[in-house]
Amino acid sequence: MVEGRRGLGQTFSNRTFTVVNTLCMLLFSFLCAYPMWYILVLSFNEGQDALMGGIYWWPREFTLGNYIVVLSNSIIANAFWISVLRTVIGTVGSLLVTSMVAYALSRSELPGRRPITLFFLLIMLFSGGLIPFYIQLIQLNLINTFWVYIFPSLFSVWNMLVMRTSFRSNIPESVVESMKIDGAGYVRIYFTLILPYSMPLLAALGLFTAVGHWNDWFTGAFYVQDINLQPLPTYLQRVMSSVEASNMISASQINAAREASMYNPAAVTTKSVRMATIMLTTLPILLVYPFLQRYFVKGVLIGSVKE
Amino acid sequence: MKWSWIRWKALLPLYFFLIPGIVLVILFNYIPLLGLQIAFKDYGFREGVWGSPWVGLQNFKEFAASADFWRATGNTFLLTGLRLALVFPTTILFALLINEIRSFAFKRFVQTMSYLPHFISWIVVIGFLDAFLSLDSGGANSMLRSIGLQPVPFMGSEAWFRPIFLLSGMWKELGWGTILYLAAIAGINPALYEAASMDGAGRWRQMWSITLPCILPIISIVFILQIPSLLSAGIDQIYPMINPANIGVAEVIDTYILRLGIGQAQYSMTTAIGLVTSVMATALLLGSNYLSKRAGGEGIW
Repeated sequence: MVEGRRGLGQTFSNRTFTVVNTLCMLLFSFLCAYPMWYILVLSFNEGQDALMGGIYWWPREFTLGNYIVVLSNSIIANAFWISVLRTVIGTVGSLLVTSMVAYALSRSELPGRRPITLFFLLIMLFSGGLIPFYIQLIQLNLINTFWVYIFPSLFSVWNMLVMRTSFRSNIPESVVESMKIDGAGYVRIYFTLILPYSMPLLAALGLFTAVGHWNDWFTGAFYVQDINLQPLPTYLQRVMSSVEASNMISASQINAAREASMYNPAAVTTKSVRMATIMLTTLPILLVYPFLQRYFVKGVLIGSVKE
Repeated sequence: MKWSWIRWKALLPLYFFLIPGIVLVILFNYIPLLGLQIAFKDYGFREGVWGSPWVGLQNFKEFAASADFWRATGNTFLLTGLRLALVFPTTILFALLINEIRSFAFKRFVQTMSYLPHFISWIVVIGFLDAFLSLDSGGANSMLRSIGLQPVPFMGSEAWFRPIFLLSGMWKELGWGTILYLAAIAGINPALYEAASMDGAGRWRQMWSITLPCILPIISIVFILQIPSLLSAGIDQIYPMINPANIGVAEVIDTYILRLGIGQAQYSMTTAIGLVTSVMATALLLGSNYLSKRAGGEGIW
């Protein structure tokens, strides 16, 4: 009898717990997604109308005008391509350079493997800091060039360690040995065995690297002065100041007569243009996110395995 | 077996594979490391890192005498200390609550939603904040107006900077931070829960008496790894948020180095600041690792 009552009490408190927890989780999920929805709605709303406020869920005066202004802007189109280029070159290059090092260090027959590994590991502990790094970029003439986005991040110790562990434990040594007996050298083994069989891992690490490249505004803002070489997030940082956004609007008004039938140029504001730019910067991330998701736990956990 | 030339020749490609990585690490990691010497020099661009004259501790004395530096240091510790105190336990709690979701699909949904902000650029997050909190047309202020209150200049106010810093940081990283904990929880032996529920322990009780103790080793590792971040509040987040109205509470060591170093070309003094902070970060890491091991917990080595 006593047992039974306690059991019932437990069930009740467990059920309360479940309900409260579900509500909390729903609220939190909503809070994570809502800011993006809010910006999306504002970016499709006429700027003048949005200034009156009160738009939270749905556009009140729907328009494509903000996007037309943003997409017809030549600086932003250029910034978009800079972002795409640096993301593609930076990611492919980084995977190649990093996996080559990881492959060499994964071979236990390599003489000098330990000191070389230590040479790479030490940079995780000590860093020269921002200013000596900046001076080195000046010395290498990388400041104000496209390559400042690529070279400094071409090698990643962290990814190297993850790849090395995976090359060692996921690729059967017997296959490597049999390829060697068939006369294959290390280069051929790397291209025909290691790389193809590590594609899921490389895809995972590559997606994380690509997101890092796409989101980086810092490099463009401090190491590059030429507007034509700055990527989208750096441009966004500048658009946050109203001067830049109104430049964009006045530049678009030259074409306005042609497009006047499509939107009302007078209704576009600095803020509505900013919303469209934010969406343009975020959209590619939202598009790759579902693919990234498959690799979340995998990518994070492989790296954290203690050896 | 002796090392013959043939064997070496076969191994040669492996060394070639190492060359790009070694060159890059020398150029972008080791040479800047040697560049730290300008903390003790009066760096001139023409003389270069090696040719500039030694000045002893002058650069250190210079920043130690600057009120702006101490303000930035105070702000850094306050912001990162608050962040650690607030976000660290909240992340653990959040992981425990996600774990309590019984429906697989709903759990997956919550994880998808809460990981998403991690992949959004800080500059975009600042854009969200600006859109929602701006004085003229931000959603928050139009709500305040509609209930008859005065609008608040959230983004340009000293009082609101810290809450905005903490909440936006939490929004971005809370979900992502749970991944390691959730993986650790997944590895707990289910028999423990069965035994506990046989003894009449409810869900809440199981969470405190089984799940939490079982992930304690991971918790202490994550904590140790976060200690060095006490010295860096995060340039990506703070720099775009700083404006003349809030600089008094918003300027941190990182942005101070950026403003004086790259902005005003005071290379030697800012390198000295960087050196002190990175030595302190390493010391904090080693210290907390040591203390954690002394206390019988996990260490990262």
